[in-house]
Formats: sequence, structure tokens, C-alpha cells
Amino acid sequence: MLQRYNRCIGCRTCMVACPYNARHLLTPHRRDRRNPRDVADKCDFCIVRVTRGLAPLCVASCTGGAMIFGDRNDPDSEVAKMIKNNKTFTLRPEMGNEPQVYYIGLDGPIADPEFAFHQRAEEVHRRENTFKRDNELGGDMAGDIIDTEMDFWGLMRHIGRNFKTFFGAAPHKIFRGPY
Amino acid sequence: MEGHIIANVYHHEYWGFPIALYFWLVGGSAGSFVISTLGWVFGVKKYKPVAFFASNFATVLLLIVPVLLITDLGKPWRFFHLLMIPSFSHWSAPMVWGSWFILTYPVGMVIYSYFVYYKN
Repeated sequence: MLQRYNRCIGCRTCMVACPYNARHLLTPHRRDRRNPRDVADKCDFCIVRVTRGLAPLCVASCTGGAMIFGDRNDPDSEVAKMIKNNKTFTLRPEMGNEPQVYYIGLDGPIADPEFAFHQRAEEVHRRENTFKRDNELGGDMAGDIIDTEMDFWGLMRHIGRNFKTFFGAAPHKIFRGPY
Repeated sequence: MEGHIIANVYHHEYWGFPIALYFWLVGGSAGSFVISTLGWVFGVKKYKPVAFFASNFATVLLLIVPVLLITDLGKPWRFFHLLMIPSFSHWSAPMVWGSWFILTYPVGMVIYSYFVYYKN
């Protein structure tokens, strides 16, 4: 699945709709300013490398050789043989999306979306808090979770902080130029 | 977490406080419009004096809405992509429908206020 970056307006509807948490908004703080920023994106299996005959970078750099990339329709490929010879699992098969990423030995809580949500939540909170602590702008705009537990006073703090970051980041988002 | 299980979504809220405020403003606008119609459409004499103020208040609330929605986008300058019918917009996208409704609803409210004021 590829995307036209020059059409995306960054409304985040696709991120809300995605059942796999696969989509994300590209950060505005790119090293190379010519790269697309503030648009939604997803893993495209390194299409630039694949079209040139190379494996995706995650597969090529995997030290354990745990990942295999290939053509599943070709019965002689390694991927097709592994799928045929092993019991494979996919994430959330009950939704009928037929994801083409197959897991061998995916068992227990790893495939549970609730477990994955909690794991990812802790990681996201840690990174978000680190970014907000180390940057003057204070991270992204309103809507990003800071507190894990949402009691009443946590919600009040959340609203206050998001008001500050929202009004602080709004002029920056508008007056920084076309890209 | 129970809400995530019920709705079958396991991710964070990507639409934050501005979108919640947008729904609140649109709801207030619709309520104000209903109050303004009580005297003229449904014949409740008690609410006739507030009809003009209520219809104008609905328009004012709707003028705040595009500011919130556009500044919440990742690319605020590209908001017009929602309104370009021939090339960029999908009619299957609910946001395209919503943006057209948000455009046309204040226009209708202004026409309605005109008739409330001059046909009094």
C-alpha cells in the first residue's frame, strides 16, 4: 500500500480507522527537510529497495535472520515454503482483512490486541514524555496522551497542557512555509 | 480500556481536544437553531423573542469551527483538498461530506436569520 504524500492533509482519519496501529503521522522534525512531514504514513516494505531487487532494510539487518521477505505466489520461494511447512498466524484474523504478514509461533499474549495496546501505550508515553521534556515546543499538538491513568485531576492536567501546546504550536504549524 | 474492547479499536485518541470542542460547538449551534425554530415553526410564542439572537448565535458558533478543524490538520494549508471535487476528493470519505455541510450550514443560517429579522 503506497500513498501520495502531496495529497495527504494529515487529518488522521486513517489512523483512527486502522485496526493494526500501523499508520502514523510523520514527524515535522525530519533530518532532511525535503522529506515529507506531517502526513500519515505506513510501512511500505521499503519499496525503493524492493523495486531494486533488495530485501527490506528490517529483513536485511535482522541479526537473527528471523524475518523472511519474498513472493508468496511463487511456490518455489522461501516464503511460500515456510508458510506451507509451518503453522502460521496473522494478527486479528477475525476481521477478515487478510494481512500478508505471517507469524510462526505467534502465541499467548503477543497476538492479543489488548496486551499489545498496553505494551505500546507504555512505550508511546515514555517517548512522548521524553520528547516533551527535551524540546522547547513541547511535542505535538493537542490529543497526545501524557498520563496513563486518567482520573479527574489527570484529565484536568491533560486539558490544561493540551491548551498550552495547542495554542503554542498552532502559529508554528501555520507560518512555517508550504512544506 | 472497556471502551476500546467494546468499540474493537486498540489505539490512542488521535483526535484530541480541538475535535471534541468542535463537536461541542456544532451541538450548541444545532441546539440554538432548534430554539430559534420553536417560535416560528412549532408555534411556541414564548420563544419568539429569542429567535433572532439564537439563529445568529448558531452562526457565530459555526464560525469558530473551521479554525479548530484546520489548525488540527497536519497540513493546514491543504484543507482545500477536501473541497476539490474532480481530482482529490473521494465521495466515500465522511470528512468530505462533513466539510461541505460545515460550509453550507452557516450560509443557510444567515438566510434564515435574514427572514427571521425582516419578516418579523
